[in-house]
Amino acid sequence: MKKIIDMENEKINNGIKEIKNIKMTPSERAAILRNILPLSDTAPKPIPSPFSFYSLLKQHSFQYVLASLLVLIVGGGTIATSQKSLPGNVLYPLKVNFLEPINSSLNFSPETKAKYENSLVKERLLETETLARQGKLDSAKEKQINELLSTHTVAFNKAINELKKTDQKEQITNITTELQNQLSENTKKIVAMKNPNDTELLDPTEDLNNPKNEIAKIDLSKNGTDSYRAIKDGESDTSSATPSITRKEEASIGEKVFSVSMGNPSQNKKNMSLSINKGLRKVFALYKNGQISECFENGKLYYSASLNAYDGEGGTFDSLGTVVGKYQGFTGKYTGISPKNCERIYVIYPNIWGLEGLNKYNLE
Amino acid sequence: MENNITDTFKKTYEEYSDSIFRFSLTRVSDREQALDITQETFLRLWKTMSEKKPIKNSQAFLFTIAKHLIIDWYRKKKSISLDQMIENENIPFDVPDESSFKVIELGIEGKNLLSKINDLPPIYRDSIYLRLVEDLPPKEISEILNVSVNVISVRINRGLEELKKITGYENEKNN
Repeated sequence: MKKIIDMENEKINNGIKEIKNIKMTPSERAAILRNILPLSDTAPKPIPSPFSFYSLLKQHSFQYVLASLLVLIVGGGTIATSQKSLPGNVLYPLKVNFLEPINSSLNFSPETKAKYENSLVKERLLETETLARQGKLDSAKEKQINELLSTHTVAFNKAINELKKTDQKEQITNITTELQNQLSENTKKIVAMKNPNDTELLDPTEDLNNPKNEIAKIDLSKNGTDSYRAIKDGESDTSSATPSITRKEEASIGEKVFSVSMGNPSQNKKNMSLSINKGLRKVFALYKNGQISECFENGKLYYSASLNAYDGEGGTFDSLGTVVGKYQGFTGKYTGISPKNCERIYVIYPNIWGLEGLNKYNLE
Repeated sequence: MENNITDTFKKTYEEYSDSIFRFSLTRVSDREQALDITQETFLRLWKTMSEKKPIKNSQAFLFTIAKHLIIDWYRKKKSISLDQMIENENIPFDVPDESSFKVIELGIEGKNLLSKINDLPPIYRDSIYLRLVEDLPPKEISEILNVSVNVISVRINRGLEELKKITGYENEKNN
């Protein structure tokens, strides 16, 4: 019996072995692989020689050497001219992309570096002021200046952080106060230039110096060592906060508002949260006994508020305090704008929601 | 990342290309056609990998593609009703002729086994072939044939019983 089973297994196994021997020839196997893989972009690419002219041109260090040589060759006249150039001028890229970075790299101590970056911020603000005075300040130039301010701020904060390690609080306070004053002064000038007849505008200097005002302000914090911090964000992410001057237009109202913001233009949230805002005061007057959230929808700032009462009503307001949406507590229905991306900024305590009291901007 | 994909593809190709070729050749009985199907199968694998689409089981993926390509081939070349073929899972196994073998000839026992697998009821053919020749576990066969693992296990058991009967081994045992 056992022999028959073995024979059965042997026959089947032999048959299987023979079938398994059906294979492609090595050349057939290689040909198919060749046919498939050339269709990809994964064929090894030639590695360019690091010593070729184009490879050298791509290296940052070589670019700086080239720039320095260029500067030397072209001569001091061009340097002097470029240093006076404004955004839009052909020499402006030479100034901001080569000369200033080279100068910055020559400042070795955190203090001198912070001061230098501080001076660059001032320079950008002065350029903005000059362009505004000449009526040449367009959105492209504003964007370029804001991007540069962002770069300066990151470098400034880095230097300040280094300075913190040395515990030189006095120097830090001096530098940041100087910048704050410069910022407020320039803002005031630009606002005045752009809106000579607009008496409704708030005084930016006053706002900057008033810690309870919801305008851009530089947080010197308790020990006066932090700088450039966007108070609105309440975070220590100083690298992302950039002092800049941006222009907002509320077309529907027809009122132009210049605001000092602490963020990159693309960072609408930070910009807008730090903008001049009278609407919040209106909302607070209505919803002092309730909660208020700050919302951003499609790049616009809104306030969402509700009363501290069961089935209480609520509403959404634009940055000027105009009602743009309403919430009926007893039906749970919303009409109008209902922004989703919200952050609480005010909550009365005690309250029906079981939330802790909050007054982010010291509204009163 | 791209190099990783290429390496993985090459490894998969080395591992399964003969299986796919064998699977194709024993059905279409035409070496060039089997090579074409093999190439097309791996080309589709490559495209899928390039698009970074997830592939749960490369082997099952390859056999599934090859199976569909064979069905397509039959649809174009043979006068078999495709609907009937799919319905009955009636993709016949052919014993390839001698011209289809270049290096190693298929011996008499191999030819006999392939012939007997082809004589099995259509429902058992693929399950038996994939289990016996390609050593695939029921789970992978179930993924290729798109039926449950239990169904595949039953088909394998019943198919083996049937295979013993038609090969005459069952009679030899009883004698």
